[in-house]
Amino acid sequence: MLYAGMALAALLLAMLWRGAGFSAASPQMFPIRFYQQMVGDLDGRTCPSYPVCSGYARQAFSEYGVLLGSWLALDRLIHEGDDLKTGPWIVFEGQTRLHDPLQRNSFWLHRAGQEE
Amino acid sequence: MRLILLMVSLLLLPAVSSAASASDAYNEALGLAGAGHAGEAAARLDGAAAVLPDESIWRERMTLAAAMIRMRSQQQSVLPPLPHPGSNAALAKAYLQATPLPQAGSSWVVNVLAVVLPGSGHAWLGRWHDALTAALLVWPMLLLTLWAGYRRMGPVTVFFALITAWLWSGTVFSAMSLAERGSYEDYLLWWQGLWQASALPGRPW
Repeated sequence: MLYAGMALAALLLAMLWRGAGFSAASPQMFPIRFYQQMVGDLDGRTCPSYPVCSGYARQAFSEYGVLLGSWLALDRLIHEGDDLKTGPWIVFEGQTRLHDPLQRNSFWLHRAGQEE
Repeated sequence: MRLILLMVSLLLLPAVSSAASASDAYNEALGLAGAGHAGEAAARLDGAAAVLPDESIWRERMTLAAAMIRMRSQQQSVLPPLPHPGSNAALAKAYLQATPLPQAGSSWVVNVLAVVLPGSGHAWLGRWHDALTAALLVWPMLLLTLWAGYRRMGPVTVFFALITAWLWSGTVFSAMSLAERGSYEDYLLWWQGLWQASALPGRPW
């Protein structure tokens, strides 16, 4: 238990050291920040989309809150498979990526809000 | 001779600068529409068209462009009546008669299927890879929850049930979102065809 606590503290310190921007006012961002700062570099940034899935999730959480934001992030993970067969594509930093901004998938939420 | 040329140039100058400023205003408005500010773009086009003379070709272009940009933002399929319809409007009407708006599939079928059987909503949309992903997210957790409930595991069952509920509702949301997105992108393709058929210069996308 002590070792687990120490490991967690070390991870938090490492995140602070790397300027993760972790804020106590937005604890829902912690898993995304943790992934972006600690795991993302290790797994080689495998996301084939632009913006990358963690950046997309971060934007979704900050714009739509925990529930809708998490659904939008889950939706991105689900629909990526078939979207990768059809595009649309964008060239970013020399790499061709699936262009799938948040607006493309969340526009209908605004429309539903306007109709009410 | 040079004097005559100079005088002709001076006489033509106001007409050239007027056309240039009209096309600048038009292009700026199209840029705004392309950036997602449809309302502002349409208002600018209407405003610019109002100060142009009746015989100006840009007047018709701007009026038609404003009407079509409003059509897109409201997902309309009918072109509203225009005060001075010209050749661009005639071309647009010909496209509307020849190319009806593709019928969007009913999204309630997708929603019901996604609620009843996780993954089937995506399959109904023809997104088989997504259907498999959605099913693999929900079904194992659902079985785990049922197993935990059967074994009366108390808080563990509640924990699994909450995760299952989140995943299940997330796949329903995903199916709804993809149905909406598919309908909108079909409309957008149709509308882009309408814009190109009308032979209006520029692209507001």
